[in-house]
Amino acid sequence: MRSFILPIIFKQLSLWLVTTFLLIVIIFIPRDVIYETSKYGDIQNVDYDYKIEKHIGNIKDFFISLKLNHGLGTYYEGNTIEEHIIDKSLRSVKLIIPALILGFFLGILKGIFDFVSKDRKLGIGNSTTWFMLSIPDLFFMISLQLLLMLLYEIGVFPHIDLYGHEKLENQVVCIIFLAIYPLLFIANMTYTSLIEEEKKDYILTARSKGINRLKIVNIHMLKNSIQKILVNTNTMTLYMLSNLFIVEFLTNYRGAAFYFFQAISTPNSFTVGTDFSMNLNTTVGFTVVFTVIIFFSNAFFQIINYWVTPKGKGI
Amino acid sequence: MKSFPFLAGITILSIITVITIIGPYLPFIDKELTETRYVIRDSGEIDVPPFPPSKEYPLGSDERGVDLLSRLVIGAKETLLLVGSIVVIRFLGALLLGVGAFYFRGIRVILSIWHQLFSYIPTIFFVVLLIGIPFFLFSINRPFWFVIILALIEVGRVGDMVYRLVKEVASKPFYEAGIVAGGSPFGLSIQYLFPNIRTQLIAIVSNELGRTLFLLAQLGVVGIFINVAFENDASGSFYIVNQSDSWPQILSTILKDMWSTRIVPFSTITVLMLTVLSFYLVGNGLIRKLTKR
Repeated sequence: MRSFILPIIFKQLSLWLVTTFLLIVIIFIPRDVIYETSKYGDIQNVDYDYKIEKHIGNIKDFFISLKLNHGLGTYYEGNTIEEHIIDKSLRSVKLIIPALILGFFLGILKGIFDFVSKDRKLGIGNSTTWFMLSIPDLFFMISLQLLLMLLYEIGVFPHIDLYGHEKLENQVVCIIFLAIYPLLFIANMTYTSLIEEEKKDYILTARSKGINRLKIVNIHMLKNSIQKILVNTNTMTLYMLSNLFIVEFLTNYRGAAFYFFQAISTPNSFTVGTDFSMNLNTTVGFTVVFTVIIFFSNAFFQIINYWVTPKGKGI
Repeated sequence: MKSFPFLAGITILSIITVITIIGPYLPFIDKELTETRYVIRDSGEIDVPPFPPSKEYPLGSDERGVDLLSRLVIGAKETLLLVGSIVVIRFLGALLLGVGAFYFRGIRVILSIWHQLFSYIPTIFFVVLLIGIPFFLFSINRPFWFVIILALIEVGRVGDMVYRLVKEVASKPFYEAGIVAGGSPFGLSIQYLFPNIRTQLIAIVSNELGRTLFLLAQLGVVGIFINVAFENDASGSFYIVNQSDSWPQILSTILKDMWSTRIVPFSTITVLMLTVLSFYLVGNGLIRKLTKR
């Protein structure tokens, strides 16, 4: 058993190494510009030239400073960048893991529910799933925030802190926001693959014997369709991390995504001499964090995939 | 009655299209999007924006005194063009890569590297990372590069989906029959592949349209502008200001608007939602129509 998990991890690890390297190459694209000014000193033109020597030089400089400083350097008042990154990343991981797990399992449940209730005229099956999928997540977040505020104002609900990262309730609200997309995404995937599976002969046989529908789903269909669901987990994780940023932005949750954005965003005004380069060391640090998160999520779901795949049907 | 969702989708989409085309010529739409910094009432009082909904401003105004309804109507064209061109470029690229990857090993390698690279970091960060490079920042063709970047970042993911579809179809006996009959890759693709994957392709396109609009909305919220101008003040510094009328850019002031003019983000998001919904509805309806036959 273990001998099969190792190759999965090894493959994911090598993919991770290659992509992280490529990402670092992109991060170090030179960003210095030449300002052309008139004799009064106002900017006439801004010139940018890409030079490959400069690009390679940037990467070399980074590794030299890494060696000299034994790390990424200082962030702020004696804190190293590593401490800053780890601190903020842990904050975000507290949201990501529960949201992923919640979204994944509740999503499968919702998918099964949609499937089982598809012929009933309740009108709350799969149509709700994709109706909700077409609503921007932003809308959910803002509506929920406003709703909670309103409920508190009229006094039917206790006060919930919606902004910040210090309290448990901040985390719970953020986890709910974050889990919405994975839940709907997985529900839709589950539903579609169950529908596909339903047409197969062995299901018809089982149904003709009069077995309860839910039982058929649980015993036969889910195991076969879960592979198709797991194939798409990478997309799910990616979208969730994109959303993480919006969630942190809208709720003042100061986590990894927020500080990562701060490191890579460019100034919105400039004068002669303004430097457009990013905070490179922090950027590299956060890039590694994000790719590691995706690596773990990929490896995790791949292992589940291995587990549930019937023997001899491996992909 | 079964095709009701499809009809609803078509209706919403055609309403949006009609508004996009004739909207700017309607009498109550302010084509110039003029800013009204203050209004002096007859009683001598001065009103400052944001103005509440009134006869003159059907949905109210934003904080610069621009009529919100006009902003939404004028922005429709740019938004649809933006989303449409991104998805068209992405889809054509994905088709080329996905089908090509099936026939040529080299393309398969390119596709898998592309797919891997961009699936390790959220798209929104990639866009911010790339659009901040001075080459794009100062380019006069910034909207063009913006479209290209957004289209190409996800071309690997969509290409991979197409590749999987092609592989699945090609493993079926009828396709092998085509090979035996001596079909060229191009002829095989046209005659054997496309008829069998077109419903999935429609699903991909309608999903991509929705996703792209979501991503644009997210970029709007964090203030990544599609088209910029540089305005200088007396001190000699230049400010990078938004020049785009598209819907997502209306959301760039969302954190402020949440507390003052909730109608601005809400109406924008509602319009975005209706558009995405119509994409899905039309896509699903088309799929159902095609599979019925």
